Amino acid sequence: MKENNLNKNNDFKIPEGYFDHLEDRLMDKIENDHSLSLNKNTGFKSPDGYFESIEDKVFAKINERKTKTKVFSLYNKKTLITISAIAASLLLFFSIQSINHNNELNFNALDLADINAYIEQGNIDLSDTELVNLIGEEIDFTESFEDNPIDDEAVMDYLNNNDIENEIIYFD
Amino acid sequence: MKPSEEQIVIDLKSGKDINNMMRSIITLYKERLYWHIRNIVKNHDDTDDILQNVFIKVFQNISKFKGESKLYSWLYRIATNESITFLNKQAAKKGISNEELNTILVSNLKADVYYDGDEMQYKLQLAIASLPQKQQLVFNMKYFQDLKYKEMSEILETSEGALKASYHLAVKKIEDFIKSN
Repeated sequence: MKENNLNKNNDFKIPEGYFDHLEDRLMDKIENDHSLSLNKNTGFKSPDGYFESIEDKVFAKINERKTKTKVFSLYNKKTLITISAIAASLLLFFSIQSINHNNELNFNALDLADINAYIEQGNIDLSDTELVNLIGEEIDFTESFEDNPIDDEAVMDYLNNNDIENEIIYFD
Repeated sequence: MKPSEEQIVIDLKSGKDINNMMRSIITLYKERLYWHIRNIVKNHDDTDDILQNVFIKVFQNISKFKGESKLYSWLYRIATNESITFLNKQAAKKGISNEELNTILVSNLKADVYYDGDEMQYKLQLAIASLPQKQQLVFNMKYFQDLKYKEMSEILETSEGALKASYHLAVKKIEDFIKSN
């Protein structure tokens, strides 16, 4: 096919020399837009300069692990004695436990203070969104104490008749 | 100048200095893997953690890399597995399903300083979150990362035909989602 046949019968024109450097211009653009093409239209961003430091961060972690891990043999006499001593005492501990307390574990057996400490140590990690989800929509927040004040007498009655000492969770 | 995959594989086989090689691997793949992981877990900090773990795993297992599969598909596979394991752990920790977790992750984007997607991009993320996990992976890899079916097939160890079907199904569902929302 002859070159000049490619644009027969229409009036479209192109700037002079348009095709001469098209490859170079395109390659330039592709190379400059390298990260863009990896992250097309997502809206995600990464912090400035983030990619420059990854190598060092990874090597720092690898070295950290190397120094932490010590290899020791399981089969020397001393460790064998230590491990069997631990195993024996654990066995003894649990057998005594099961003799003394045959009752089942339940939530009522837990001290409130223990639960409190457990949460404070960060063992239960709930975000605000999760807390809201936990509460759900069943609880009606529109009924407040301001709209429906409880009269003093009822409060005094309640306090007199109920021992609430164990129900209170103290905060520092 | 970035090292090439071919050169790295040659160096690997010849047993050159492992630290130098590892540095080349990180340099060559850090951005691609970052965006791959980011598309799955959505926020920067988790992506950063996972990316570093991926490279540490690669470092620990580099001696097992025999060159049977391509280096990049091996790396992508580790990154994919690490990201999905991370999401599963998160869902288990919070006691919710993976679908619920996805929706939470996407809704967190609105407050994310490293996200500036417009309304349409945000909607797209919501639509992606509504897909089954495999379709999400396929869609992200094809649409956002422009991977070829052949490459995806090596990474996900699925046939090209199945991947094409997954992708078209995903696109269809996303279109429906966006039209109906």
